[in-house]
Amino acid sequence: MVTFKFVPYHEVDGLSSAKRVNKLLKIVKEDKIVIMEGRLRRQEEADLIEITMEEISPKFKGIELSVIYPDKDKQDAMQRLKGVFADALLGDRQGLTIIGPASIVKKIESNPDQIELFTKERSKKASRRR
Amino acid sequence: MSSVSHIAHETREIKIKEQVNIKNKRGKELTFSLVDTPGISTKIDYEDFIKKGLKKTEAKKRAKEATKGVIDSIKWLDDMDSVVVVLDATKDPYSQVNITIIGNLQARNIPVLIAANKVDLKKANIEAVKAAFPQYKIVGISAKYGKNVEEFYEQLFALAK
Repeated sequence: MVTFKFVPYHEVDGLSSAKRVNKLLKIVKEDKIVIMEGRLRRQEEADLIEITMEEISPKFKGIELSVIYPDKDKQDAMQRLKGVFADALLGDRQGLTIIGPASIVKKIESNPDQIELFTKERSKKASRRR
Repeated sequence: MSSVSHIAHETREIKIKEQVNIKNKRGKELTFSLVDTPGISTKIDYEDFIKKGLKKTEAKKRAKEATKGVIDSIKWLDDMDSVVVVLDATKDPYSQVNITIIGNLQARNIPVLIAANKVDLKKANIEAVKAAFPQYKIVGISAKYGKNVEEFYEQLFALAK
């Protein structure tokens, strides 16, 4: 069984970068796949990789990470303007961030419009989630 | 600077070469310090090294060194004047690691040149790399056969301007 944990943006909005990254990583280390509303800041994404590496052990093998984000090139001027205002008022809550434990998630393939998440085979039958 | 291996994470520590000198076709010289960093990854599993033939203790040691190498690579991003990001042109360029690292360099206003390596292989898709990072200059190279190295040097000159 694969467990997904949804993290709404308001749950991480008020947190410092370190607390935000640690909160997400804590969920992943419980063998759950995080689906977070919005995205981390660029620096926080790098911090997430760095902290993940610090935590690697024989039990925790790391993470798979993917961000799906609206393709701004496909938005018209009004949509882009709305996005700018929404980001300024509410934070960067556009898009989705998916983080899963590498022991469960084999790979996440994303193109701008969809994410495909492949889980590791636990038996002879291939297990694929979409 | 680093050697090639069929086992991942062959480069596990930062290697620095000072006073590297290259010359372009017009005889112009460029001198710089080269910092070769380990590849960045979000996961490292010592069992993968065992599958490649390493013993358990050796595999665990390699995994530990590899994790430290990734941490060091990320820390070094802050200290670079320019960065050459080497991508494997046979793989999907949209990996989140690529996007995160290049995004971080962009946020720090660090000039970036992307070297799409392994263009000697049929599977290489340089157009996909160009489509993924249209804002950057991309040079297809084959480090193994020295293919397109002249063009790579030319772009290094442009990057260092």
